[in-house]
Amino acid sequence: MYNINFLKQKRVELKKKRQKAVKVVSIGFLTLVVSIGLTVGVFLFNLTNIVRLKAKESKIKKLEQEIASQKDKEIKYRTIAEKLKIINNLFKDKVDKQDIIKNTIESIKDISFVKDITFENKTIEFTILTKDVFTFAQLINIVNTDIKNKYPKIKMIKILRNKDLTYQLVLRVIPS
Amino acid sequence: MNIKFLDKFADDIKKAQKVSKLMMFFGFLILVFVGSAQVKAVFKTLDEIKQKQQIIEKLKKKNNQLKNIQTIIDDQNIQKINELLPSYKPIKELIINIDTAAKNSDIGILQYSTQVGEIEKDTNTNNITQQKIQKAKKQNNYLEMQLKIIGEFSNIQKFTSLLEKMSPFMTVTKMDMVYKETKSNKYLATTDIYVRIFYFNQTDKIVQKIDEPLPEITDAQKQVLKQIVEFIPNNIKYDETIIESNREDLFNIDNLR
Repeated sequence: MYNINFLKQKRVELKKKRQKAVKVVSIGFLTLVVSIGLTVGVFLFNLTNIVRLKAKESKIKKLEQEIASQKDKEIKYRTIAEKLKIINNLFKDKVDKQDIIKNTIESIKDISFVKDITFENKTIEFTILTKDVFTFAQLINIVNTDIKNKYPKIKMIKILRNKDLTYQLVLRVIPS
Repeated sequence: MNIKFLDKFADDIKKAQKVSKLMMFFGFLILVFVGSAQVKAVFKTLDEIKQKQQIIEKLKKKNNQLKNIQTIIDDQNIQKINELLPSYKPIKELIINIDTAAKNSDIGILQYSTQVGEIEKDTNTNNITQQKIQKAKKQNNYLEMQLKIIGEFSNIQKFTSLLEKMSPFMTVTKMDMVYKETKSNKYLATTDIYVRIFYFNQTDKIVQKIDEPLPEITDAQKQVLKQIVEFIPNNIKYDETIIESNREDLFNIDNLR
């Protein structure tokens, strides 16, 4: 007589299924635990950062109060800095006219006479008088060499011959 | 009995698999919705911390600057700057400077007049530096004086040169010099001069700005400090004490003593 065990096959199948189920349950459980763990971890990390942020904010407040207590000092400094900026600009804007007048007259004084000097809008105009045409030619020569070398922005505005045979030159010098 | 047990066991496995899938699903849900929101919050907080730290650094720097302001600019320089560009209209200084310069250069003042000037507006200026100067000019004021003087050329030059070296800051903006021969064969120049004296009285517009750093003093401005020292100070002494008298009211007006 043969004894056939039908349950053996079933047991083997169930054993395999059980192993698979254990794996799946483990993965599911692990996923849930890891997700919660990560979320809680990030939350705690954020919490410590918020505490750090609050500390920084109170530090800022403290520093601001300390700065506010030095208001007079700051206003005094800002005023001085503003004044210094203005003085710097005034210095930049200042035309060194004294040197131009002095140097120009120095160059021509032996042969001519400066009759009129006008300074306006950062431009200096000299009205120069010479006794005759020869000294006038010398003057033109000096203007084109000596004076032009020192101040490249010069312009001869007007040449005039007077009744008494004297010659007159109006020379404009623009400081560079 | 055995068969029943095995069937039940198979059902349990199926249930466990379902629960497991649910756990995975919830796990993902937590990660996607709660976890990602937390991560975003972390990045936001970290960014805020970084910003606050930068503010702290700025404030610390400013606080230190304020504490050590003497190292940036000392009292002597502050005094010189205030002398060169006072915070009031220097009418008295203008008159005294002109008088002092005239005495020291041996010229004669024929007449003078003064008026309160306003800042000119040059709309044709395109140059950036000039625009900056114009902008700066709008922040300060000046008084202008028109003078007619007479003297030898060298003395007139000495006079204008002296004026431009005196404090408060003065500059000759316009000059018209005409020579004339005198009876004693001496050449004298009659000169019309326009002189400007500058001041800065808009100090009320300067306020404390807690969040902003202190304005830096540039190298060019430091060079200016060296030039400022060369200016001739104005030695006007102002009355600082009020002397009370116990005299009776001369005009017998009530409450006016």
